[in-house]
Amino acid sequence: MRRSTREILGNLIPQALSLSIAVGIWQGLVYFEVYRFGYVPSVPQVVAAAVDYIPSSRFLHDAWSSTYRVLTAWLLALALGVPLGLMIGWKLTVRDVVFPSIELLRPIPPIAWIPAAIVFFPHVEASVIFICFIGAFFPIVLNTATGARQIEETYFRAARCCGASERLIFRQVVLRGAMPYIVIGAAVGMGVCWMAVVAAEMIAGERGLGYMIWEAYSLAQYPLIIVGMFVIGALGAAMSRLIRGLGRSLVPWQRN
Amino acid sequence: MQAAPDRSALSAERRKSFHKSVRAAFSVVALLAIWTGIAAFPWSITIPSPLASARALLQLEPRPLAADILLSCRRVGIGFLIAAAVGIPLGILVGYSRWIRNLLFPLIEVLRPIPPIAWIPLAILFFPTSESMVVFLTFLGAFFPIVYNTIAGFSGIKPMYLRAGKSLGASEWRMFWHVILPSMLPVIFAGLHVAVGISWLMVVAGEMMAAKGGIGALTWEAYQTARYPLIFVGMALIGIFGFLSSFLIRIAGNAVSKWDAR
Repeated sequence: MRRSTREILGNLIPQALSLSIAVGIWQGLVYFEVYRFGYVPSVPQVVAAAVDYIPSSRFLHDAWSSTYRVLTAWLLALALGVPLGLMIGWKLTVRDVVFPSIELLRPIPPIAWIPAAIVFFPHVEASVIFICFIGAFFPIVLNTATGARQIEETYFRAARCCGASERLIFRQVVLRGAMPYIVIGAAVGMGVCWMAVVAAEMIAGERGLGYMIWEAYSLAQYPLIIVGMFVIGALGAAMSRLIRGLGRSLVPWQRN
Repeated sequence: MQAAPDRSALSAERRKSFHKSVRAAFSVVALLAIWTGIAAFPWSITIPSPLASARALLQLEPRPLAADILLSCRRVGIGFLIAAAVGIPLGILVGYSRWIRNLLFPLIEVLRPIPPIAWIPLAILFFPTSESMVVFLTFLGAFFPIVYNTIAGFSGIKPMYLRAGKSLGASEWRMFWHVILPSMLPVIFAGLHVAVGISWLMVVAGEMMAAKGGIGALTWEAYQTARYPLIFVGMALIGIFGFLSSFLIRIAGNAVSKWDAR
């Protein structure tokens, strides 16, 4: 569907206007020091900090550290969570045995694992990755299990009628049938992973973007905090978009 | 699990649920056994066993513990309620008016990908007291899922219902109360359910990093004073109360939208 230029402009102008108004309000509040906005960095300060920070090698280093941790944890969570989720959704016995334990652990947010992870892992790197793993694992398992559960019984019967082995059913029916939900779980898991990496790096990090904004806070480089927030947001959004794009190519039969 | 053919369906059903509870009990016991096993392994650092953690819980004085729990619950409750009070009307306005949508949606889209955790340094800087800072954090965590789901709920209303309402001559006001709001409620409650979980996450983060008191601070102090069994007590408490709040939301959601009870 092709939209007319007028329609696009009709939405674009108010949208651009909206962001400029928001930035204007921010700058106004800071400039006139309304309430405690005097403590908040102003727009020019943040822009100057961004111009200074983003082309630097430090930025690349921070961004790579966080991305590396997130990707490692996310891949681990996929590697463990998808097979487990498929088994939970497919086999009633597995569901009855595994699910109660998962439901016991799931309400504990990844942040609450931070002290335990710092104490019990020998390296900071391992504890940060563990915390991100916890964040990604539960959404992946739950979505995968839901996906495997909602596969129509007819597909299983058809496969069995054609003489498919359990192994083949697992690969061709369960895995494929659950794929749309696996993609959703992977995308949600990635989002939680980014949140967890920021938290873990702020508290235990040594390096990475979360550590960067915490350090900027302790060194009173306040404009850098806001630059860091937007960088984290942009990277997280880019990553989720990438996964959704990849996911779409994994489930070509699904529209939207 | 096959039901024996000579038994009645009822007893088969009963046997099925008996099997299920046996397996659930096995699941919990296995989890505790794995934990005990990990704790018993001679690592370079001693990991507290379930027993040691239970002992640590019993050694806590009940009064300060209850105060910490209440404090965390209050912080979550206030932030969450403010987020619902602001977020639901805002989402409805965004749904109703294209102008407001164009005005607010870009801003929401720019701010939403920033994880609420990343706001913590700025929030510490801005708010005069740690109490208002933590409440802001719980508000922030809950706000985006609530707004987002409210918008989704609005755009998900079936046009057929709207047409049916209109052709029966309903006024705008009646349309809102009898058609639009009821059909949005299940989606709004799904948002509230997500939101309360993130609120709990935020209260823990805020209490660990900056605020005094609360379950998050209890866990963090246990870490700093090297009372490791207490860390697990804190984690368990966080899990229990997080679970209870989402349970409450689910009950409330089922009560207000009975036709969609899950």
